[in-house]
Amino acid sequence: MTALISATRLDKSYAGSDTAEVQVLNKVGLEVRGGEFVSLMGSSGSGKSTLLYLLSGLEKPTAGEISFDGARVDEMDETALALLRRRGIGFVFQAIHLVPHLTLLENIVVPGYLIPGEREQVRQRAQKLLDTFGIGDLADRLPAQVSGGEQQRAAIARALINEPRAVFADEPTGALNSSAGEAVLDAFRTLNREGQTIVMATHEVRAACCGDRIVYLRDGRVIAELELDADATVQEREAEALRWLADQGW
Amino acid sequence: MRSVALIAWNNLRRRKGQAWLVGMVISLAVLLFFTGAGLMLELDRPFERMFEELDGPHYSLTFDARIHDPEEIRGWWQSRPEVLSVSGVLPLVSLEESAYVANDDLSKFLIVSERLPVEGLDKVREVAGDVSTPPGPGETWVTTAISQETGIQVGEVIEIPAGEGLVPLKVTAIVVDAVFSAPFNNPTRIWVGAGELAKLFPVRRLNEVAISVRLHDPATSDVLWVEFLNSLGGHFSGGRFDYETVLSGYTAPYDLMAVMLVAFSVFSVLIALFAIHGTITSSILADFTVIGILRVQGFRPRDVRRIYQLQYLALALAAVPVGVAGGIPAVRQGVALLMSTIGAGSASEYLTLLAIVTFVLFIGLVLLFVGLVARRAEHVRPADAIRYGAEPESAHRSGRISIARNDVLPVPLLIALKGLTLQRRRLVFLVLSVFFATLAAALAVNLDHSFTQSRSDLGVLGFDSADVRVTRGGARFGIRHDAFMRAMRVREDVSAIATWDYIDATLLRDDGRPGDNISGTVVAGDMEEIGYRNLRGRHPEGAAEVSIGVTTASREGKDVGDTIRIHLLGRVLPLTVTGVYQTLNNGGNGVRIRLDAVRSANPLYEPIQYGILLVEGVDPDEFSSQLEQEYGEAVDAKPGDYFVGEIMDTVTTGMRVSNGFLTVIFLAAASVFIFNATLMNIAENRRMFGIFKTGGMSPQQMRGCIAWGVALQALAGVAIGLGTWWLAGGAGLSALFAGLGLVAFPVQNHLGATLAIIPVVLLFCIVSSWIASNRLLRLDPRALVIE
Repeated sequence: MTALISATRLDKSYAGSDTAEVQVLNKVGLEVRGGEFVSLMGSSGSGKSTLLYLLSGLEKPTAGEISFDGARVDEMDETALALLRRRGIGFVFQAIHLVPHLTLLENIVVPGYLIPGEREQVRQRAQKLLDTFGIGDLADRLPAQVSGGEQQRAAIARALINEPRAVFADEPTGALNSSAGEAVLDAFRTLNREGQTIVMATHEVRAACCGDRIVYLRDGRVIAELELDADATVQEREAEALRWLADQGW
Repeated sequence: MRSVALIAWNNLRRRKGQAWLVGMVISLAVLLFFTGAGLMLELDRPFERMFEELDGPHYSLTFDARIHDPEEIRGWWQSRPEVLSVSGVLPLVSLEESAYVANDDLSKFLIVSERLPVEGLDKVREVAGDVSTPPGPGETWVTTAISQETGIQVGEVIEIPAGEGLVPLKVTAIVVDAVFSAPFNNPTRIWVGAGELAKLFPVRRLNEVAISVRLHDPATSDVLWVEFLNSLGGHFSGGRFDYETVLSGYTAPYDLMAVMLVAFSVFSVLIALFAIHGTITSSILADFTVIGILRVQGFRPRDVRRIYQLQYLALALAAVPVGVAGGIPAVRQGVALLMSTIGAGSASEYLTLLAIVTFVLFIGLVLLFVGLVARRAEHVRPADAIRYGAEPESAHRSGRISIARNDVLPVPLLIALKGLTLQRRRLVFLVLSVFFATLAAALAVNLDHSFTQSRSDLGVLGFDSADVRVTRGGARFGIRHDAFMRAMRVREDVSAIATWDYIDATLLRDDGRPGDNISGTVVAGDMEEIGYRNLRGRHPEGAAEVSIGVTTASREGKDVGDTIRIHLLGRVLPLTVTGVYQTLNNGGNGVRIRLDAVRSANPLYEPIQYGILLVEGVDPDEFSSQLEQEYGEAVDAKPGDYFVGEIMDTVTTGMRVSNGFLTVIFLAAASVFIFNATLMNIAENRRMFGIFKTGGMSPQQMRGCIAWGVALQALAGVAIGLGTWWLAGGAGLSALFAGLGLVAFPVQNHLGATLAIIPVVLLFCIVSSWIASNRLLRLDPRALVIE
């Protein structure tokens, strides 16, 4: 299967104090196939969130190439990137980031309405997503009027409203309690089973094991990758991942 | 304190552009305030010094020696202990036709006075030429008011309309005349040698005299005047120039300019405070994390506030002296303009004190205001600031419009609509700022249009609407009034004719108060057709009727149907009021009295001024030429607006400049507000825009969210502004001009220009917001990440 996302020799550095530059990513290479669920793991400051932002076109690399569905993301201007984010990519944040004065339904339909077309279809799709995630009856509530887990599920629905080729999630369970986190992971598993490509940065082993593959980063480099056994139980996958991570010095 | 100072200094260096902007706004406010206040304080000084040096009279009385005995009048004033000195009786002739300098007619009427050999109260200061001996035969001294208007020099000639036509007089001196050098008073005076009047004018015109009176204390002048009138039985048939009139003739326009500058400085101060408010608020929002870090490091809330106070104190310390330094030459230049007719003097008596007061006032104001605004920084919670880098978001529902259920409007407009109610105070201020800018623009456009339109129909301002103004004259080949009226009425090119001579009278009162001098218009002919109008009632139709000016009516408590008594040409006439009219002439004071009534006091009275309305299509210039060819020296024809045209031009230009300036000030204020409001909006909604950017919103769409919001608010402001103008503009102008005699201002709205305000103001607002929204392009979605 050909790669949906491909990154080659990615560098990313930020201007530090005075003249020193902080190198966050160093010659990173990664390929994500269509329909694949990839988990990026690593300790704090390892560069996993930065890699996620580069792959999704939210930031530009200092050097290297990124292709999304055959198009060079690193060469796109702001308008092209906006179109890519609008049609090709969905993003889920750790801090959820729903617009506080818009209802859950409004939060979801706004990216959908950015694409010219029948708004009624967008509304129906949004309502279906809300129903799928078990929050259909909360459509007209404000974010502050629902729980954190419900907010995050609404945020996932927002990421999916334009039926993107890939969903990027940055610590999607990081701000949730365990049951809410579990519900969110269930949602991701369901999506992936239906063929949705997902790239998720996480430091939770349980979350990482929802995917097909774990990519481990340290100090801005990809250290190792682990293909998880698709037929194994959740417990077996977690155990395997823990052993592997220990080998990497996690 | 050192660390507070360091951070304040660092803030100034980081935001150089913002610091320059605020500094300039403060400097401008100081400049306007200092110039206005400086002019108000300094303007009267050169005049007062000149008046003292020349022993200027507090009263100059001119009257007909056949009505009042000059020696009796002089004796009364001399007998009063409050009087310092009284001049001799000066013979004079008031000219009713134009004088000429180098073939150009003078805009002022002239009083030709004889210069007596003994110098009394009417001293003059020599500016050019020689005043050691009075003017000789064929010579004259002219005032600085004339030389300033015409540029006439010593040795050149001024032609005056004397008994035998125009007579040339050679100028031997240009002088400062305490009473008549005022550039904004009409008439002015020229001096001729003793006995010269009798050579220049026929005996029948040698009845006028002048007496000047100087008091120990000008404050006693009002009381003395009442006693003087009582001594004459309540009425004085003559003219007077008192100290206040003379002073205002020198300083009134500059005083008005000074008041306007101070008024504008108030607006500028408001703009400066608003700019400071905006920049501090946006700085606090931008520096939220930094403030949190400072608090964690041990800064107390008041230390954070002091950072901003220190920062703006430094700015004010630099900006205020710049404004003062610009104001000093501006005041000196303004006073120098005045002194060009006074001839000497200097300004700076109060400037040092004013500079100190201005400095303390503005520094104190800035400190106080910054202290109030920067209190917001005291409320920053360190944990929230460091974690989120922004204030905790509100969770209330915004607006009733549903984005989800809207199938038509573009997303940026929907977002803007939803966001409108989130910052109600900002919305109100933005709408208000646009409202005032729109109202100022509507005022500027339509007031100008109203006055421009009134030039073709001066009747709306209380004058007549004549196309041609004729003065009957000519000693040798004259034409009588009745004959002239008949001759005009049979002409096919004349539509209407009426007289408009001015005559002085005294309005008598029945409540024991002395009578009041009043200027009357002698009317005969086609009053209605020539354009005379009444607010209520009708024109007088006979010798026993009169119509009165609206100010006279309200001051005297008289209205249609009442009776007034006026003392005219030595007789007391009881007249029934048939109408009340408004007029800019004399501030709404006056009467329109029929020629029959004047002739009942003096059967020999002959009007000489006429307004002629031409049949449509007849060219006024051609008609005037024809008339002058036909009647020779017997008539002098001028354009219909000849006597008010120059004043109207001055008024219209002044209003155009001041209203234009006012509009620019308000537009600038709205622009600064919108610019800052946009920056604050972006800072406060950084996270929301980050979310939208991540969701695929393009940079233009994000800027559209801001621009749509501003456009909607600006549209509301424009709509309310124009609606207010349409509903209340006329009433407002009437209230504004009531003191000048126009209680029902003839407002003429220019539909096209008024509607053009809408796109202009909207464009101004949207561009201001669009420029500021450029900051959105630098928005980094990484702000949404919590590491």
